[in-house]
Amino acid sequence: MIGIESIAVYLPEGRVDNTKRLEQFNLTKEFLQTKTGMSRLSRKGEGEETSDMCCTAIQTLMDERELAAEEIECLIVCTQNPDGYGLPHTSAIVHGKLGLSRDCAVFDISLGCSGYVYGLSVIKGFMLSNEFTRGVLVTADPYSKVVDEQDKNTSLLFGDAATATLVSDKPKWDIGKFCFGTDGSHCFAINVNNETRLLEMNGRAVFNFTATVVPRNISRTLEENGLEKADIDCFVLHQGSRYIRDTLAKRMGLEPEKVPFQAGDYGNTVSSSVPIILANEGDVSKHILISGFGVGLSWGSTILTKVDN
Amino acid sequence: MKVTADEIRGIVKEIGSSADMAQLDESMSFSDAGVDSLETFNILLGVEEKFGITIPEDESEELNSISEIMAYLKKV
Repeated sequence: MIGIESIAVYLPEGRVDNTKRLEQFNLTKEFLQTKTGMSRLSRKGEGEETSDMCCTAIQTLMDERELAAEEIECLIVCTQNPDGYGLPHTSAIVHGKLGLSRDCAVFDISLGCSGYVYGLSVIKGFMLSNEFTRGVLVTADPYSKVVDEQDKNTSLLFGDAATATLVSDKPKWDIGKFCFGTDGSHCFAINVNNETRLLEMNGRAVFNFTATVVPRNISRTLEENGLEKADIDCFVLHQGSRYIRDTLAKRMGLEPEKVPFQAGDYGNTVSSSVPIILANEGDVSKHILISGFGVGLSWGSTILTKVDN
Repeated sequence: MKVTADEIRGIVKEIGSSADMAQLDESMSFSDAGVDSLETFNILLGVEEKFGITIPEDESEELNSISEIMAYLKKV
């Protein structure tokens, strides 16, 4: 069995205080608290690269699990904000910085908010087909590189973070069946403008997509895994905003306590959003449904089940 | 498509809007009634789902009150 053994999180210390920006955007404190939900946004250091964030998360994982660099057989980095222009791939830069084994396979995946779920499927399949027993999936997508700080739609949402998940043959969490989807007809609903190199988001299109597609995907995921809503102890949904969380919980008839929103002090960290919560929620749950959705438009869900030892 | 103000008001209530429903008359703009932009997205989605229509982006920007939605649906 290949599954999740451990998750390490790196949240940079830097913060942007959204409560001081309300006047700039003609917003109320109530809107910030109840709708976007992000009081502060984490920010990487000025000279800190995406690969540096990856290394910090991986080093934390290695220290916590007493994992030696040479034991890592594969490394996948999920990012759409790589070092430089993405060539060489960020995972190769990380490989060099950490001195990983020359036998280690490394590559990047270009996905945003759905990236952790897709990444788990990719790393599990890659490890099983190559008989690997220790792999690391990293998420690191610092949107501070592309956010337009004058854009009301986006500049109050995104925070920088990185996570590193040890996927191994000694799992704490078994990974269930996945359900994925894509809607390329709305691929520019979230995009980086080719000329300005700044992030743009069609808020209404993204809201509509999230509110309609994600509940159907979650229902299908439950069915594929032979479970009902009542069997799930915790729904770890991508932390797009507090209002997205509230809307999804309401539309799916879920008790709010089962659908955590924890991003208030650091923001929407894209593909790190789900694993950051997983790292905190792991101790009390038997079945956790995870769902990532966003740029692409792309979505994916699966169910994690605690392994009985 | 003929739609009543109460049907639209029902959608506003159903999405759990923070608007003061007692104050929300047909001609009042959503923003004046305390409905924010995210709730407006949710209201328009509710209208689309209830009446089985898709409201194009450019047309959605003109729908900022119950009466404007009613007038729009009358033309659909």
